[in-house]
Amino acid sequence: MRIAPPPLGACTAAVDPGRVTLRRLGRSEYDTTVADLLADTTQPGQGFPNDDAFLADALTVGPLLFEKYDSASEQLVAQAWAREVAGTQPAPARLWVCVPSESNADCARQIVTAFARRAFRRPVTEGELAPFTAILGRSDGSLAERTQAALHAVLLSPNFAFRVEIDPEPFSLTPHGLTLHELATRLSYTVWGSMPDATLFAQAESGALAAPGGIASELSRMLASPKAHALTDNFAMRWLTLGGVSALTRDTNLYPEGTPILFSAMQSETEQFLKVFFGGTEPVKNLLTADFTFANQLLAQNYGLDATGLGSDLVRVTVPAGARRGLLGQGAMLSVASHSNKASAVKRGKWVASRLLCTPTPEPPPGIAETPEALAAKTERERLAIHRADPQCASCHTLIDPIGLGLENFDAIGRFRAEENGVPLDVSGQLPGGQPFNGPEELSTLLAADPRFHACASDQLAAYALGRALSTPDQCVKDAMSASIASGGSVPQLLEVLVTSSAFTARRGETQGATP
Amino acid sequence: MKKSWNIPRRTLLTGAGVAVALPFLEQMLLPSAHGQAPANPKRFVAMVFPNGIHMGKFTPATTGPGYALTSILTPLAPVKEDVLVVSGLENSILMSGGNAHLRGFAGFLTAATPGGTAQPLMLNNHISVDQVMAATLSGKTRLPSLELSAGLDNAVQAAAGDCDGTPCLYGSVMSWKSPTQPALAEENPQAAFDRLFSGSAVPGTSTPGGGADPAADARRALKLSVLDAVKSDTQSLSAKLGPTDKAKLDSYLTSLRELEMRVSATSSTPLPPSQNCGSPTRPTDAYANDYPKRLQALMDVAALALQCDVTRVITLIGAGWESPAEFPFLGVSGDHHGISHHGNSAQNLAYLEKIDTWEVEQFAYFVARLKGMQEGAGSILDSSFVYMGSDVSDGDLHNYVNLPVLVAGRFGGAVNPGRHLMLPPTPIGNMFLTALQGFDPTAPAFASSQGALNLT
Repeated sequence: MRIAPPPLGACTAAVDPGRVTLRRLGRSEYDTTVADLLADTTQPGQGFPNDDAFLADALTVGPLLFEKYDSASEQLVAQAWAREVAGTQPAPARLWVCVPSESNADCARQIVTAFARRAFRRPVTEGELAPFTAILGRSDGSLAERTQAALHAVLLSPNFAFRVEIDPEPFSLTPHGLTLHELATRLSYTVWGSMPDATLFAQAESGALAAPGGIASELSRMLASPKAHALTDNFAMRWLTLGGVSALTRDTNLYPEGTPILFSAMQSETEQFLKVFFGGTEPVKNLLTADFTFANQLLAQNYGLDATGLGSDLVRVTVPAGARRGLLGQGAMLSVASHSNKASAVKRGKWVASRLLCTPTPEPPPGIAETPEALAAKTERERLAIHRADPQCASCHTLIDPIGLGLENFDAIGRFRAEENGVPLDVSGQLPGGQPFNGPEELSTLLAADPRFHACASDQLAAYALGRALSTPDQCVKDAMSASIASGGSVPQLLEVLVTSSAFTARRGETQGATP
Repeated sequence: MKKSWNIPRRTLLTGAGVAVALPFLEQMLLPSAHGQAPANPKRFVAMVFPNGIHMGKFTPATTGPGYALTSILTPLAPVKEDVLVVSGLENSILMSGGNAHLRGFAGFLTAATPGGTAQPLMLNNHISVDQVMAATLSGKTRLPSLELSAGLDNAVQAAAGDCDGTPCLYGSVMSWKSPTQPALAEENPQAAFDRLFSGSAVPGTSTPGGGADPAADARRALKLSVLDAVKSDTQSLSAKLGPTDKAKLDSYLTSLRELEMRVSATSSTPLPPSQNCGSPTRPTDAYANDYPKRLQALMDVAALALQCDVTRVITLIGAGWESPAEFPFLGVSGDHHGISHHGNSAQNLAYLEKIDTWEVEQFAYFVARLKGMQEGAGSILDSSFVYMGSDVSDGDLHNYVNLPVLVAGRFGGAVNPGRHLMLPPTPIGNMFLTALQGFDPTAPAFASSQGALNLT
């Protein structure tokens, strides 16, 4: 069953729904999926090549990955089979839908059939099963070994490794609705980073997902599940480039406090902060202006907050009025956009421009060098002013430096400071386009209200969910999402606009002459 | 069967639940390599260390043999006669626009300008020279090529696959099988070793001098049936797809066939006892949090791969683009990319001198390893072309002219080392063509090359 075109929801006019290239599971999605499918928590994907990217085109395949898929599949099946033998395989992940024995070929077939259906996240035809069940009829090894080999092949199949969506007419540009199983899979990977659960499968099976409000009600149910932390880990932390904060290091002579414990706490702080937004009614805009964060004693001391009663666990704390507001007041962002031995207005300005305003700044063109005068300057502001005197530097640095200078109140591990090298800090600056501000709090307030931030956050969330960069025909859904943010919408509201739009529920084929 | 080193329990448990002793080096049994006594095969290794080099302390003052080692080249002393220092090469094709480090990294072995698609984040590089070589060697060794990386990617880079509007993959991959297919690198030295030398991926392999193993043969037969099923499943799926999706599945099928070829070519028949590589030693740790040791362990695995002729083409990423690596053990404060924007400050240049010397020391370590591996009357190094360079020349200027280039080995006579060769500005593609012609003497050109470079 397909979702009817034109689909439900806001941007449902017959616009081009776009087309995502066959999208492979990322390595963290692979791990979450095998945890649901096989109750295996060994996380084999951690040994796969790093592919933490949104875009399907960046999720490439090659011999190294294929070999890793192969050995992971073999081990996953062997271990799940061993748990079946021991009677410890948990119910939702049972392989043995019947009791196998060497003489029971029919049971072996049932096991493979049931597993393929769950692994491929859709009904599977007899014809599709044939290559896998053919293994059962071979003469090598025992039937138990052949059954495991068939399950191994199912896990190595592209129908498992990729989120397959079939265009009934591959060369037709006319939009068509996804099948409900394809739609269920898009939903579950967007919210959970994993395969659909039994309930979502049933909704696809019964057609309930296609009923008015069907998608929205599943979305709410899914967001309420703890599995929705995938939105924080797979989307937000990558969008904000903060997934590697716990591994940051600092020059130990200058920042002896910059320990792995501190950076781990910073990463957890931002993760817990983001989770508040993905689960509830907190407006998206408050990502930048929130007066709360999560801290333990170490973090509170680092930030100069009241640490009374705090221990090693992070708890939600209110941050008194002042410089520290939202993401731009958190150690994760401030540290990631610093050097190991000093804060960097350039890196922070560039971070804000690329992550929050979606206007990436190119690296300097070849042939431009730092000047010794700039390096000798006392403050970052002075240094960058010398820098910008060079017209070649100015073209980009006039855009990013004045943003980053507004965050100079924070050192390379996010501590507050009022002066640099004995000179009182001037933390005035301006956004690209000229809006002036003075200090981090005003910067955050301006950004939260900036339509470029609303569009950027929408863009990033949509690219994550769709696996492709947005283009002109997506303007409708992008505008609807931006408007939602501007009017105080929450992440769940934003997601609802997105997953009920035709960009999410429909697709099309490609032109005959398309080149990969 | 002989177990000559420690294998983790997990590896022993693979293969349909039957414990197997894994050591085996069966590549000698591949038909094309078996029963011949060929001239020592040629090898190619490329290593990249990002963020440029402090050229003022790198380039020797005089040319020809007998030049004096500069401070950064000091670690070459034990292997000076085996290394050619090349000045004057340039990758000017990369000069236009975009992130300078990413372009330099993407073009490091392609000598071509990456990008240029309607959608800026679509991959569109050029095949890299090592992959052209690998294609000519297909079937001759167990792996056509080996890609390794000591990692240390910029933490900020990986997110969303978008690095300054350019695909981040350009900065974490050196080898490209095609414009759209990067050959991703293994970062874990133990996993790299297991891939080369354990039976988990290729069952039924045997130890030199060991006995035949019928159980292993049965496992191999089942493994082939698994691959066969996946192949037929992939082909059915592919038939339903449009061209872009099909292209992606084609990469999947090609990868499958590579593994299938390796599995079919193996046999549990004992290997001849006169194995060139003895009993390779597995790295004792993955060194996930120890950059220098991880790099060294990866170089050890690379050297073993050449010695055992598991592959003849290797790329090794010393660190990813804009590497933020820190070197507290050298007394350096700050991160590598930050310091590389030195602004001619004495402090930064002194730090760079230390970092760059350390990098050359790593290269020298690898070269010495190959030199110590005997083959015929000489060493593995004698038949090798080991290239070390950087994405840019000066890290502050981001320029691609007068690149830092070291070439170790004699490449079977095609390279005459022990000299400083000063060239007029010359495309680096010319040097790649020279290296390529070691594998395919009829190769007419590579990417932006304008004729082969004489290195003798």
